[in-house]
Formats: sequence, structure tokens, C-alpha cells
Amino acid sequence: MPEIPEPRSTSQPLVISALAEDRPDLLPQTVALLRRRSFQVRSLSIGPTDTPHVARVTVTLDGPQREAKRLVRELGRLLYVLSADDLSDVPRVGRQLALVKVTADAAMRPQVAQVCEVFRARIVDVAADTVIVEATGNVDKIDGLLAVLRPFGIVEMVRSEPVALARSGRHLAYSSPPSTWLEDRLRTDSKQAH
Amino acid sequence: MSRQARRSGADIVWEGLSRHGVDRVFGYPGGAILPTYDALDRHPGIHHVLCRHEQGATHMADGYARASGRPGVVLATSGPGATNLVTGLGTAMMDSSPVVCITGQVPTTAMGGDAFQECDTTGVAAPVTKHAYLVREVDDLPLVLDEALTLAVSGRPGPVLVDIPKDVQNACTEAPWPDTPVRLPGSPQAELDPDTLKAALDLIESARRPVILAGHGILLSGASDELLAFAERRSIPVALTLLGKGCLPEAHPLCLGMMGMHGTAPANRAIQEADLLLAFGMRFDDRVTGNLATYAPSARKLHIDIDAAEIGKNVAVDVGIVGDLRPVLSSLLEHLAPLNDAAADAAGEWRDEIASWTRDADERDVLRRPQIDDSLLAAEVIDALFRHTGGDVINVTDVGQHQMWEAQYYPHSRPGTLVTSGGMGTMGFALPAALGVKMARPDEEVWAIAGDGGFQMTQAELATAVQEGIELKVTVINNGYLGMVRQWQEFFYDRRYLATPVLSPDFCRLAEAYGIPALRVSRREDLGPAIDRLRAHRGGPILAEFVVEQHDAVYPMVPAGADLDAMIRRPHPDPRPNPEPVRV
Ligand SMILES: Cc1ncc(C[n+]2csc(CCOP(=O)(O)OP(=O)(O)O)c2C)c(N)n1
Ligand SMILES: [Mg+2]
Repeated sequence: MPEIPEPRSTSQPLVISALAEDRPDLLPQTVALLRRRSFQVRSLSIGPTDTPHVARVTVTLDGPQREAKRLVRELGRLLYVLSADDLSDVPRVGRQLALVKVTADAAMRPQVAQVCEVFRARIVDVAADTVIVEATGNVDKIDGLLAVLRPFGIVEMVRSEPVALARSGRHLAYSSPPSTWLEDRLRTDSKQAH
Repeated sequence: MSRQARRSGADIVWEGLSRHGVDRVFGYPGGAILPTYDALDRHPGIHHVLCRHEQGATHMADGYARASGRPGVVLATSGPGATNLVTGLGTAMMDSSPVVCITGQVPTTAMGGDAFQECDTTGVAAPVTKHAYLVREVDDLPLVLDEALTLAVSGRPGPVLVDIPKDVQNACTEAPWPDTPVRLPGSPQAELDPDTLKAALDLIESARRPVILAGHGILLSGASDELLAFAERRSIPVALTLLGKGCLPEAHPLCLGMMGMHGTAPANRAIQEADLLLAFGMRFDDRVTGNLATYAPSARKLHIDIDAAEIGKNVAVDVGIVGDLRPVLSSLLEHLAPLNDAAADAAGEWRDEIASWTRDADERDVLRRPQIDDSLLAAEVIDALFRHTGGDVINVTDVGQHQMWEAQYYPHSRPGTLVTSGGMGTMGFALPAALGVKMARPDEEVWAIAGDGGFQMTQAELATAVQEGIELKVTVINNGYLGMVRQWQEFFYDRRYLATPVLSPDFCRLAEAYGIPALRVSRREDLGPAIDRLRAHRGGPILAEFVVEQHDAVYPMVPAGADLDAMIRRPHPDPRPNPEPVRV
């Protein structure tokens, strides 16, 4: 499939991505920064990466483009942050996960399944009168799916915070030698492995 | 990493401080930090200064840190001990001062349950620190302490807090100290790239009306010599921020004095008419820019700062360089061409124009006018202090009118001779901070200069001064008002002086109650002898109260948010605005 850039409309948020040491208080420290520097945050997502003890932080924001640049600079002030980048205007893949519990008895189930097919969503749980639909996609796709599921009756639902990666040609890296903390953690890991 | 003997978290705290050369801490004990206090006498290399309030301890540590460049360390207990630190941390954060606070916390087993004197200390401290650590495992303590003490003084200095639950202080471990200096996360600062260097040089060499804005960063980087060489090479006038004072001798012909709200008219006008601003280690605070929309409208901007987040924060720049000023200025100096004839002519014209503004400002100077009556002006007190001390002592000022008069009437000629709360504007700073400064620089003559309002906020630290035998010169400029706020009421609130007349104790008797000699001065002819007496005093603190005219205002003044050259100037002739006396 051709790589389609995802242009940013005015309603779409700014997207900032960072790598950070995965210390126990990375989340509260990040929240405290976003708060005290008055950013209009839509979402924050933090999770591990393939590098031990290094986490990926994704923030989406409202505001003019300079807010994204400002956040990149401000993130540099957080002790744990290793590098940060503004992905707002670069070709990227952005995804969100949704779990939607929909009213559907045996008679209605095929119709829900049909909707799922169109949206490349899956039914992952079936009960007597409800099903749980799992979908991933960009925020617009999830919005679209919800619009068509709503008439069936949404009992409850959850959406994760969106995450994003730049498409090929651009990736976040950091050049520094590992911090003393990181070295210490890696040493402890290898001791435990033995 | 070498193995270590088993020792308690409390001992690790003192070991860690010793490893970083800390030989003095400022603090106040309480239940949650008692294990650490209890270990103090096993570490005789560290002296503990008992302050009278945790806020006082933070300002003392701040003064100590600013005067020494080393961490100023505070110890406090959980709950109220920790929350009392907030003002001092905020003050240190705004002014880039490496204060390190170590707080006790309720035991990990009790955390989260509203235990007695529990408080989310790291949550409270996060916005006012570079980083706030909570240590849940004693094994983590050595690395955290090493990192905290390194972080406070690295890059742009600033405060750090380490919160240690009581059970962690009591727990024992063999966890070793890192055997190399601790490395912080993040990439090391990039080298100055040739393109940026070239762009910066082009800006400078093509400017006809440049002004250097020299800030605190020059002093923190130790770049005074480079600044002077730089200014002289291209004959560029230099305006100072409040915290930049001392980075260049103010008597130097290129020095325009302070910029901003109460800056000199020549500095502010030069900035507004400049075609290039060279911002060195300053952050375009609203108190120095006035209205950003009309700020330096025809100037291009070169901004150099060690903190990347400052570049472009308030003012868009043409060239930004992230780096330590001393090496960056050195690199620029290596390539910076001296003025050619045409450029020298332009520089001469620019200087002549500024000199005409300086003459005009001098004519408006209240001290050059015949005094209306016998009442002493605060500006005269500062001026006398300057003349009688040869301009060579360290002044630590509080916040208000007296702070601005000090900045206007005490020209500083060397780095480190003015310590004041700039970014936060914290009243109550002067007395405790001055004690810290004097402890860090015992060979210097140190003066605390406070207003009658601010002095009363932390005057309890007089007891600390006596207990520690600190030879501090303490002055209270008593105008009977929260003067700076009164001035705003005079200018912007129709002279409705609500809540600004302030009753004070008899400051001399207050001092005497602490066993501190004191004198009161209200006549012009007593100024000199009083200052000489304070200078001659040995062995402990001495206090002078200067009773000054109550209604004088600091001029010039750029109203908050106004254009930088829309200055309110001193009226001439001088109508005393409010002759009626104050009653409280
Ligand atoms: C802790 C704190 N509270 C309030 C203020 C607001 N404020 C700024 S200057 C000032 C008046 C200071 O009065 P004083 O100490 O007598 O000094 P003066 O201006 O009279 O020289 C006040 C209340 C402040 N800066 N800090
Ligand atoms: Mg006053």
C-alpha cells in the first residue's frame, strides 16, 4: 500500500513524541511539567520501548504550531527525557485503541460483525446480549466506527490515548552515553539474569 | 563499584553531602527527619545551622549557594516543615540557584493514608524544582543523592528536593557509591556549529545600533572578562538585568545600567531604538521587556543561553545559541572583527546619541536637586552607603522600593556583589540570604538591606545570626509603608492607600532584645558616621534603621505591560505627592 501522509487539519491536535528513562515517577513528572507550563493537553501516553528502561512518551496538544515547538524545548528540561520531536507536520502513523461494548443479541450480532468488517475491527467477546468490539485506527476512524455502533446501543466503552510514530526516514534517537542510573539498572538486570 | 560497609540511610545522607564538599547545612528538625539528625554527630565535618523557620533556611542556603557556586543544603521535616520550603524553592528556581532540600517523610508503610504530618512533598515541590525525588528504597539512596547534588549545579543551576521516608533513613544497606562522577540522562550539549557561528557574526558585524543585554547567565558562567572584551571590541553599549548587575563595572563608559521597569532611561531607550539585541544569559522577563508587541521593534535578536527552553520562549530570535556563555563568547571573540573606520563612526554616533539621553537622565536625578526639606530620601541612604563603602561590599537586598533604589544608586563593579530575589520577588529574602552569603564569603563585608515590610517577614533569623555569631550589617529602610505597593496605588489606584501603611516594632529595641547593637538614623548628617560604625563593628551582627521620607516613588517607571520607553519620569520641580503623615 502506498504511504499516505496524514495532513493536519485545524481540528487535529499537535503531536509530540519523546524518549525518556523509564523511572517510577516518569508519569507524574511529565504531568507536572505539562501543567505548570500551561499546555492545553489532549492526551498523554507513556509506555516501554524495546530498549530496557527507556520509555516512549506521546503527547497530543491543542494550540498553534509554536506550542509543539515549545513543548519539545520544555521536555528537555525534564531530567528523564533523552530526546523529543514534534511530529505534528511530519508523515506519521497515529493510532488509538477502542474497546466498545455494544448491545447485540444473537439476532443483531451479524449486523455488528458486518460493521466491524468495514472498519477492520474485531469482536473479541460475546455474551448473551452484548459483544465487545476492538478497533484500532486513527482518531477519525474510531469516531466513524462509534457513529455507526451507536444505534445498536453502546453500553460502555474505553479509548486509549493515541500513540504515533513518524513514517520511515525519521526516528527519535539519542546520542548520549547511558546515564549512571541506566547503567546501574542494566547491571542489576544482568545480575538477576545470572 | 566498590563494596561499602553496611550503614543506615541517615548515614548515607551525610556521606553523600560530604562527598560533594558540603560542610554546612541549614535546617530545622522534626519527627520524620530525626533519624538523619541523630546521625549528624557521626559526621563532624558538617556544621548544622539551626534557622528559625524553614523558609529562612531555604533563603540562607540560597544566599550561600549564590555566593559560593556550591549547593546550599536544607534539611527539614515532613508536612509543615516541607511546605514551609516552597517559597524558598520557588525563589531559587526563578533565579537559578542550586538549593538542595532533604526532607523527612512519614514511613513508606504509612504513606498515602493522611498520617500525622504527611504531605505529598514531591508533588508540592515539583513545580518549583529542577527535580523532586522520592526515595522508596534505601538501596537507591546513594545514586539519588549523587544525582541530586550533581543536577543542582549542572547546566542551568536550580533547586532539587530529595524526600526520604523515615523507614528509609533507618534502613541499612551496603549499596555502594558510584565510583565515577554521576552522569545525568540526556544528550551532552552540542558544539557550536560553524553555520550558527557565522550567522551570529554576520548579525553583529552588520549592526549599527547594537545593545548587549547582559544577564545572570554571565555571572553564572564566569564570563565577565569575555563580555567586557566583546563589548569593547565592537564598542557595544551594555544594559544589565537586575541579576546581571556586577557582570561589568557600572562605571565603564559602555555600561548603560539596569534595563526594564525601573531601569535607566538611556538603557530602555537604547533597547527600543536598537537594530540588534545581543541577549546573553537573560530571559526576556516581562519586567525587562514591557509590552512585547512593541519591544525593540527594529532590532534583530541574537540569544545565547545555556537553557534551550529559554531560546524563543518570550521573544522570537534571529539566531539562537544554546550553550555556556564563557566558551560561546570565547568562540565568537576568536572571529569577531574589530570595527573598521565606517563602523567606528557609526558606533560613535550611536554612543553620542545615548550619551545625550544619559545627560538628560542625570539632570532629573533627585540627588542632584536641592533637597526640599530635612527628611532623608532612601536614595540618599544607598548613595551614602556606596560612597562610604567604596562601592565594594556585597549587598543583599529584599524586595520593594529600597531594592530598586539599591539597584539604581549602588553601582556594582565586580561579580557577586549584589544578591537579590529577582524572578520571584520574594519579600523576606534579604536577612536570611545575607546570612548565607556571609557564611560562604566570611572575608567579605556583607550588608542586608530590607524594607520595613519585608524585614518583618523573616526577622526571626536575627536569632540565627546571633547564635552563629555572623558579622552581618543589617539595615532597615523604614518608610512606614509597603512602599512599592503604595507607589502602584499612587500611580494606578487614585492614591487609595489600602493595606499599605505598615506598623513596625521599634527595630532598635527589637535588635537589642536579641543582644544586637542597633542605631536609628533620620538626619542627613548622621548617615556617614552610622555607616562607619556598622562597618567597624566586629564579632556579630549590628543593625541600623534608616527612617526615610514616606512618599517618595522610584523613577523612572514603566507601568506593567506598557511600552518600554513609555516611562513615568520624576516630576520636576518635585511636588511631594502626599505630605500628610501616616497613622496606623
Ligand atoms: C512575599 C511577598 N508578598 C508580597 C509581595 C508584594 N510586594 C512587593 S513590594 C512590596 C512592599 C515591600 O514593602 P517594604 O518591605 O517596606 O519595602 P519598600 O517597598 O517600602 O522599600 C510588596 C508587599 C512580595 N513581593 N512578596
Ligand atoms: Mg517600606
